Amino acid sequence: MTHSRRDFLISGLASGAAIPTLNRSLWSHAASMAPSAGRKLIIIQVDGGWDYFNQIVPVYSPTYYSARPNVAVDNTSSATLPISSKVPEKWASFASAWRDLYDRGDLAVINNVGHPEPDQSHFESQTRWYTGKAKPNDGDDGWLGRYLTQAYTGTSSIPAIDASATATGAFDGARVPVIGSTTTGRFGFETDYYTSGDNLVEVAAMEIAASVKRTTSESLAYTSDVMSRTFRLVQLLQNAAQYYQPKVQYPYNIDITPYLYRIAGLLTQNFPSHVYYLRTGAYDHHTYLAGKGGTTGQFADAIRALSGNIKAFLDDMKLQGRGQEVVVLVFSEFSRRFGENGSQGLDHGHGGVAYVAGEPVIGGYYGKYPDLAKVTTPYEEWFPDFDKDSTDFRRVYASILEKWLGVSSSIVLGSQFATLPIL
Amino acid sequence: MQQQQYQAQATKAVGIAPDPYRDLAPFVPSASNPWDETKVMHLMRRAGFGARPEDVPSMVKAGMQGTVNALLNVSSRTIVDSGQVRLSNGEAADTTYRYGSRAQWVDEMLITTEPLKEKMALFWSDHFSVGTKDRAHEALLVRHINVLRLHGLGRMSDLLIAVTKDPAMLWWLDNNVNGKPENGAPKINENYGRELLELFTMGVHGGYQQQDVREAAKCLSGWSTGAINAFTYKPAWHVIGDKTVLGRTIYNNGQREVYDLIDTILGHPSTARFLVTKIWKYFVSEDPYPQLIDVLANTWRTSGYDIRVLMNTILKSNYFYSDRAIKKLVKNPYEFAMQAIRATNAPWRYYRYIDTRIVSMGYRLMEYKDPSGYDDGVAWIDEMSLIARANYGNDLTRKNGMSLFDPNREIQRLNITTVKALVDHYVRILGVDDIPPSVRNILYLFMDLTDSGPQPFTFTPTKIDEKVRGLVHLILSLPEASIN
Repeated sequence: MTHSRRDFLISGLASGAAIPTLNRSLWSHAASMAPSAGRKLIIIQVDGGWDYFNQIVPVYSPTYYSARPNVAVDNTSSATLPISSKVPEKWASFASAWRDLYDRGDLAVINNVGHPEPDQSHFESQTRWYTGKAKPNDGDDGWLGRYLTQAYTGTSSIPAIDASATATGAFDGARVPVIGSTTTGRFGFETDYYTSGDNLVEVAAMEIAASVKRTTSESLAYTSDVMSRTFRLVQLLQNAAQYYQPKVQYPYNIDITPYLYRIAGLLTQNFPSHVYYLRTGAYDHHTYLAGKGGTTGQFADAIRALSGNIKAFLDDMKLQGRGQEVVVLVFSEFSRRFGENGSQGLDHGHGGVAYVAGEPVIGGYYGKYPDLAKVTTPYEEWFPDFDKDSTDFRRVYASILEKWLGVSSSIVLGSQFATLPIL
Repeated sequence: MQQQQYQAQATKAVGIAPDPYRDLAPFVPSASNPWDETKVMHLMRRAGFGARPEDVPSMVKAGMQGTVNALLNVSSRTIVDSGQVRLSNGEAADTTYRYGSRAQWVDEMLITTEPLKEKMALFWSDHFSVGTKDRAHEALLVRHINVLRLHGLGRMSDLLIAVTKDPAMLWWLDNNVNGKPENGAPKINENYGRELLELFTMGVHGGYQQQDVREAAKCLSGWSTGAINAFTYKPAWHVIGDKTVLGRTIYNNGQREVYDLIDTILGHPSTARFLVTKIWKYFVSEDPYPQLIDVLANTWRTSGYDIRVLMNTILKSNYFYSDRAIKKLVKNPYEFAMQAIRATNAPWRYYRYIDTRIVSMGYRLMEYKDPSGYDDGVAWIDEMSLIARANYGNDLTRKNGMSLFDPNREIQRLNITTVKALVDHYVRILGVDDIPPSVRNILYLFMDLTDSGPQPFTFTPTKIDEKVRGLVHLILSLPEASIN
């Protein structure tokens, strides 16, 4: 195994060079790192544009059932679950993990989130979420890029990790390490593994060389300290998933499962990042969104797994004693049309639902569910437009920035948006 | 936190009575303190982008005075400022893009015979920190580079005038709209006037008031662009009337007022002190003491703000060749990247690899976000930038990477036959002779160890190729390799 081999090389080099004090198990370095208890933000971007009306179902609306003759979620006790006595809509049964979080007060459901002048392009809509701007210009920095460069006042030199398999534009403008793959992505030491049988020994030698204390100048002492710390952080990243012992089972094996697992490992080992970004997909369900009755098929499977794993992650954090530190934002670039198309799918719409989850969240049902009296025919072309009843997506960002990250949201978003009482 | 702590330590007094005249007097070699390879390499790291190993002996022979004089003797040669150009490695570069301008400049840094000219220009590039607001402005950058290269070692007043007139700057800090009439009267845009006082000459809190900024901006009104890439003076945009800046009256004189404005600014004592301090921190050490700056600022003022005279004093000084300066700074990403290529004589193949890696180290040349430039010193050092530096070393030395690094040729040329001599050679040319003995031991041990276990190094072409690539990568990852 790579690890024992590496440890073996390290101990050989260390004793050969008469460096006695090297701590050989780098995973154990983690314990010596200063605890960085504090507020962590996990963002999960749902790629492709997820459906809204089949997650939070308007069971009272005959229009809904007319518009979705094949894919609507039935209004039966096995297909839907009540939200609360005050909310006429119901959860789709496959969203039971959302319901569980909601029932214990750990989920803010934010209704009808959208942006002015909706655009049904994935790219254009994602760009708005990335930049935090209603009408982004070419080259605008990402909202988290601006947060990190202009608002963040902490001391961590790795305040955020882009943990998605595909990089997000939200960090544009800031230097953020990318995990990017199941190895370390851009936050790792490269060796020339195509031609050399020296990869491990090379990194081992780099690491030991960095562990030797320097005192001849302040800048050298500083540089070697940072280098030494860097090896610990890289090891933490690499080993985060491998050594992590979750306290609950993550029930579904989907694209983000290993990343959630890794983030859990990093959080519990006090990795010095407080913003983690994930992307999951794809929800671009133009065809066969669901089987008859609405509770089978790809959409139901996807929501069940995604919400189930997010709940597992939060349960795990709670059991690890980290529940109060973690807030998760889940959003998609847009939601889908009200009526199904000719192939039991739904085309691109606008608006939709976003969730903010975690123990610190003030659970509840926020914003206004779309007024279905406004629905026009043909149903397959209708979606909730952006109007006074919509929730501007920047209010979600503003709420998180002000109430969770503790910074002025106007610095990041360019102007002041009313926050939601979700935190 | 830690960074601040180190800086605080670094600024503590050293305990001997400061003597600026002794410190600034020219270094005179002696038997115990000779002009040698160490000092030549130090000079070339600071006043250029590192010495190529084969150039060092002749510089040792030329002596300190001769070597510094040669560095200061620069031509007015410019780099091509429009269209497609061919780089020295055969690649094409488009000067209408920032990327192509950077490529051409990096080429110059690598192959130049006038290293101080490029180094001064890099310093001024950071000092004036021009960026672009529009794709079309990228085409102005290569001419901006030429302005900095042409005047970087000349008179400060000429440099300031040239930069003020430079279309890249006119667009970047909005002076091209300063004085644009509104309701028939010129309307002032203070942006450039403020930075001219605050960041480019006198320093923050350098002794000017808001009123001075306002009046300076009036002097500058009308200095604008005609075509996107051409300076034009627009008389109708100029605010008519006498101006008062820093207590001195600048008489109504149209576009000539800018010359008086710059004379006025240079006449203020803050200016020489601010600029001399900044140059000293960039080229010599992070902690000059006030008396030294005062003496140097006086020397500079007396010379009519001749940057060449200032650099002549600095680069020949006792202080510059003392332990207070040698290996006391942190390499910025360009210093790190260029020195590694020059030291290894690695013929570089792909500019894009160099560009991407330098950006990962944190330096976006001519893509500055704000007009204050980069913080130097340990501000360049964090986890990500150190990973980027180590990975640059890997890319430089690996097969099919950034360069055609070929260790066999070098080993044959030098007739090296022992592991010790081999390791010591690379430690020396890469300028990390100051590594602790235990670290040097690690390098020796590395040569006889592979992933699969001990395997004594042999001087065969395959083994040399494999192992020396790793060795150089390893050396470039050492903390000492980031110290200048």
